[in-house]
Amino acid sequence: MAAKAKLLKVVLLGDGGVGKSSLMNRFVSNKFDAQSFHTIGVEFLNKDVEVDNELYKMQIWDTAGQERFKSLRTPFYRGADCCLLTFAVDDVQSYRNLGMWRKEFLYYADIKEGDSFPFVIIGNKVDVENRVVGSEEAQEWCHANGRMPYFETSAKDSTNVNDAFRAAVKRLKELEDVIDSNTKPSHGPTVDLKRKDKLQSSGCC
Amino acid sequence: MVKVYKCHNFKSQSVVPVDGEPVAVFSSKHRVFVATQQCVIEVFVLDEQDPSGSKYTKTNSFSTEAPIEQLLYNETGGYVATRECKVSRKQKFYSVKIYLNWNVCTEDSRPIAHVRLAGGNQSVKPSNKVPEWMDVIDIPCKYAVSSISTCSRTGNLAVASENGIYLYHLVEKTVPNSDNTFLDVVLFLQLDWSFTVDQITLCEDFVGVSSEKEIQIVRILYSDKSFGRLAIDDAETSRAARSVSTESFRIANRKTSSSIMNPLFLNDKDSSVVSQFSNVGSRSSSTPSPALSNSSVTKSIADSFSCILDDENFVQWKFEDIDLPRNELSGNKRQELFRDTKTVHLKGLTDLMCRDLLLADPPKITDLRGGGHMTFGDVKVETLLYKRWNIQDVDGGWRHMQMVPTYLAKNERFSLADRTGTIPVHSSTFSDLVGVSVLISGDTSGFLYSLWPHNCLLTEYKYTKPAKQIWAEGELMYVLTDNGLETYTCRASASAVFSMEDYASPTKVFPSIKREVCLCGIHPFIGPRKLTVSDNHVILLAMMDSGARPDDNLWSLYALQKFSNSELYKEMIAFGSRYQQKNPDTYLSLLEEGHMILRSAMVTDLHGDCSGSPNSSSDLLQESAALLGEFYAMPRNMQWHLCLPYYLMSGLSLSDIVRQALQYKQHTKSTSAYCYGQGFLYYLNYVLFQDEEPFQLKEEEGDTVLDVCAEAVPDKLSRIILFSRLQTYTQEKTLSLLKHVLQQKYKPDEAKSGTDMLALSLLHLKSCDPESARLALAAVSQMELRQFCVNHHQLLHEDFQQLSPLSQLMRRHCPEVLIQCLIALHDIGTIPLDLAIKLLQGPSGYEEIHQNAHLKEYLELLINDEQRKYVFEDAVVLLCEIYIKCLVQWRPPCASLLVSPVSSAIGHLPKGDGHFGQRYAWLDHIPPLQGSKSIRQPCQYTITTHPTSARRSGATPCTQVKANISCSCFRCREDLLKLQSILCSPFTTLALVEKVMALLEEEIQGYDSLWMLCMLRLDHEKATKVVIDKYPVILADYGISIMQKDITKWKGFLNMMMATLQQQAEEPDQREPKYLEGLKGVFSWLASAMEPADFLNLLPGNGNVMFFLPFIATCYKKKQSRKLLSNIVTKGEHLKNIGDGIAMGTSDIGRHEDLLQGDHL
Repeated sequence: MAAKAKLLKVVLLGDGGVGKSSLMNRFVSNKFDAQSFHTIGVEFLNKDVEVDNELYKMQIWDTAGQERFKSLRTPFYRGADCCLLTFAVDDVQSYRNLGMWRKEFLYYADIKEGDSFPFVIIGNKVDVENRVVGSEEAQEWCHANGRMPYFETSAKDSTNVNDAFRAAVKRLKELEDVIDSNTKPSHGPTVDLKRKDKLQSSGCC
Repeated sequence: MVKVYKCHNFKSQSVVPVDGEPVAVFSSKHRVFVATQQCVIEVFVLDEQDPSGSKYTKTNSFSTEAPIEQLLYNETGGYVATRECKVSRKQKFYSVKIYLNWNVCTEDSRPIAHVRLAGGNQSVKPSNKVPEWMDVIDIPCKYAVSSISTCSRTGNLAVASENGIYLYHLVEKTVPNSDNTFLDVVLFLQLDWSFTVDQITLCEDFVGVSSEKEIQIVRILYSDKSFGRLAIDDAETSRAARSVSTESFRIANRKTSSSIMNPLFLNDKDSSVVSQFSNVGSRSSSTPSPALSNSSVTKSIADSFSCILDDENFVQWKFEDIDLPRNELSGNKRQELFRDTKTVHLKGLTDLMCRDLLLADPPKITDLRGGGHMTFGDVKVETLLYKRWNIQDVDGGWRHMQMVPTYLAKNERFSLADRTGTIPVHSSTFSDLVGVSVLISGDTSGFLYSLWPHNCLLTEYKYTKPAKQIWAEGELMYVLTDNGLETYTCRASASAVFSMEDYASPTKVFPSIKREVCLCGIHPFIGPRKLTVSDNHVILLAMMDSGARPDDNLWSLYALQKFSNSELYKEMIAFGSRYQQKNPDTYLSLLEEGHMILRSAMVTDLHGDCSGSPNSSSDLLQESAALLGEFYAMPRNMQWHLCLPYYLMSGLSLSDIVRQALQYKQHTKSTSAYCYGQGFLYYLNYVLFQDEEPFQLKEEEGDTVLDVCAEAVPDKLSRIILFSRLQTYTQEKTLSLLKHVLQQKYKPDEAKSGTDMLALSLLHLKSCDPESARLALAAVSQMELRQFCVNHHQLLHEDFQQLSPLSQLMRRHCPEVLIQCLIALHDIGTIPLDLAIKLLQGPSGYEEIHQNAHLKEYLELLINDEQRKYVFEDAVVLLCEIYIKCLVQWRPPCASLLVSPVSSAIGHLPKGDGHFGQRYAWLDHIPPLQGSKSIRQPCQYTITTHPTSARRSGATPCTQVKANISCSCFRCREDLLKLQSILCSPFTTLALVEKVMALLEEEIQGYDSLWMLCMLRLDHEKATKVVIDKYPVILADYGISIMQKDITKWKGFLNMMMATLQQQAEEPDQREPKYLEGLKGVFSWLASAMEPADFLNLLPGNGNVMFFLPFIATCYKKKQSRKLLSNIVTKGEHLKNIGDGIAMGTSDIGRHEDLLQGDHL
């Protein structure tokens, strides 16, 4: 029998057209569609990954980046385990909006301690020639905003896509360890319902 | 108590391994959904081609957002509903998800899941013909969701969270500016309870919620008007209707129990009633709630109905009656009176269940139809069942709750699109709903309650082990325990089917639905975890603990194919039959269980085989009824009265049942009649005397039945021969059987009853022995015979085609009884006039109709009563025809026809208030009649030698016929006299007169009189002229009887007379004195009857004064006499009044004095 995989809800956020859906499709299906239509509302796909010998079921939530879809996407932030903030390296405005996206996510996901939430920043479309956001510039922003991991990817040619998503899992693990060490006794991985239940049930008396 | 009979098995079984750790399972029809801890739902589909009938293969699999806590599939909506809980960063996130087109996900392809919020409409992806994504609707929940439930027929979804439940319905919406549609889930009702809801169950408009200690079942009632408006509109009605039902659980009539609110509910000051809607106009929306669209408004009005129900619990309190004059009453009467007036019996409160209802808090209602912008309509709930956990045992509380509806079977597949009503909690098949039950259960004991149409506890269950899960169906209930699966009988369908009929008639029956239930199957399983039941399978999830690590557990899906109801019945009967002799109660128990299952299946089972094949459900039902009938037919059975309805239901023929009884008798080697049970005799008595067509039996079969009857019910044998539906038997054998029975019954010199003699007579007749038949018939009194024949008219005729042999015998020997019977049967509408004529006329033609004395007698008797006025027209015409034919063919009597000339001559006309009128006296003087005396004299045609003189002369008395004389005795002129009487009747119509005129022939005797009677109606002057010309002797009588006080007619008559007299003066003949005599007679009558002025007016202008003066003087004298008489009467009355006044103390002295002084007599 297959070992039990931990479910991780991963939300992809970023301006419309930065390539969130392409990233998801590349990661989950290893496909790229140059003519893909913009996302309406939210969609999700699952992908099983193994990180550090542990199985994870990554549930990638692709969202619509356009402002008009804000009310449709924000309800689905709650319960997210990590968030991938995406911009396109050829779109400076999408880079400038990263802060806004982070804020929106933390607000609607009802996360009080934003610094300990695992964000990963993705600079997509590195395959394009007219790049306007520099790598250092982006890394600086990540550093300044809680030392978020930063990946430059190309959904089109599959550059760094898997690493970026895997990094999200790693980041989650890192931060969970920090939380666990700060809040004794340890409750183990957050998503392990069984363990949590056991702890709860054993802690009542 | 639960009876344990191991008679339930499964047809086949298959096992499918399940990957991952299943957390929830649900099945519906041919699909099984298994949710695993890996956030995947796997769908298994029954392989219908597989011969085993229970092989399931995995066909679909799709991911869910979060781990599943509860899984449901709704066949009507085609959606999978899940209750999910995601834990992230030590926080729990609850949601309910609706997976709409989950079937796009297969094992090989899992398209992207497009998620949208319930109630939104902008996030719909552009529709392609084949969607490339799975449509998911998210119902976000702030608090923990404890339970979800769907209604299999409406497709509605109920979500329980904390104290509230939220009801959603699936609606089809249109994408703005497009023809594309999509499904959405819209919240329409919220109910907030007084306790935290752990479980919820939903079925049409019935909602059940439970916590550990409480269970409450309510019904949602919608009204198409707001209660405020209803209050104004229907105030008058409400005041008038004092007894209004507020308890739908008491409603007996299915049609009156619609969830549409009875407007009169508004009298109830129930706080749960909401009249919350503002006057904000209904918002234009692309997603209108069904209750808001224009068409639905119309439908709403059309669909809704309001009715006033009589509240059977209504008790009238009469407090004023309490102040009774106690001393005046004594004994029982007084006690009864005081008991009735002082004690108020509230019927509802005597029921334990109703007392429980008083403890229930109604939920707070928030009607959310139309998104809170509703402008009309109201909703309230009504508690049907409320139970607190008070069972004093180790059980902790309520664990299971399930609603079990029963619908009439229809071969139509229902879908969401079929929903046409405006009530969101009603499905398109709501009208087919015949009953709703609910199973509530703790760990080791459960209760099945009928909620509707009757509210009562049906059965109680005790399980052998604590129940992990329970699933109740219409006929069976499955209980999952640690050891395996237990199957119990369930009365949900039976209760519903039972309530569909009225069992007041002794011919209808249904086994007791409250009979103890059976534990009919125990099937051990290792590690059973979850249970779900589909139409044809019981699905069991079991876990095999194979190692130390939880991940090593092996999970299996057991698909157990159910037996059909017919097969289940057969199993039960096969099991029960083994105990038929040793333990009849077990046998009966299983017979009744089997019968209930089949009977319910006939009404509710879509898959029931009613095709007419040898083992079809209907055949089996008849078989089951036959077995039950046979059981109750046994001797010494206390419930023998149930034999009849079951035997009737069985479709067995009389001979089959009698054969069965004989076989039983032979089997028991009993020689006594007591071997026949009371039930059997009751059945015999019923079917033999049923008002139906005669049995179609062979003679041998009839003989067998009569043999059994002679043995079992000898007292009734004669009645069976005479009046029963058994008409085919061997005459001789039956005759000897009857004679034997009569020998046993009577002493040799004892008088036999009329029934026995009539039966004997009938059998003699059938055996072609008329003389014996006559002798037997003579022993029956006429009154008794008449009674028999009227009560059992079939004795008189053979299928209404001809008179029976018995009638023929009666016609010969007591025709008057036959005629009276026919008249009585006419009066009660059994044998109408035309049929009676046909029967009496027999094969003879119309030409001989006048020779049929019985027919004439029948018609005469028939028209001799005003109450039969409606047949006068037909009967009288025919009778007149007969009379005229008789007159036409009249011949003087011959000796052979005259039995007793003296007595026959003195007859009389029919006396009654019918069509025979009083003949005019003057008719007696028109030939062939010779005055009234001549009618009463003996017949002149005959001379009878007086017996004394004959003895003296040594001769025998004899009758001779005289020739060449004319006799006008009654006997000779009977027809003429009767015809005259008919024509003199006030009922005589112009049509009749015209008909008689057409038939009259001048040759017939009495033509003149008949012609005159007809002409009196057609043209009386012509009649008068003939009288003047031909019969001056009757002038006075004629004039007086015809003209009476009609001055105009008198004037014409007198003118004609005066003209005749004038003619006589000129050319006198022998009639002149007769005219003068007639004239005197006329004036003498006129002088006494007319007023002087009128009289003078009638006098001819050219008359002789001396002739008329005495008449004038008489006229004035008469007038003075009348005046004097009147005066005396007036004064007398005046005096009487004064006398009365004095007696009462209110005398008027003045008036009294006037009277004393006034002119007196």
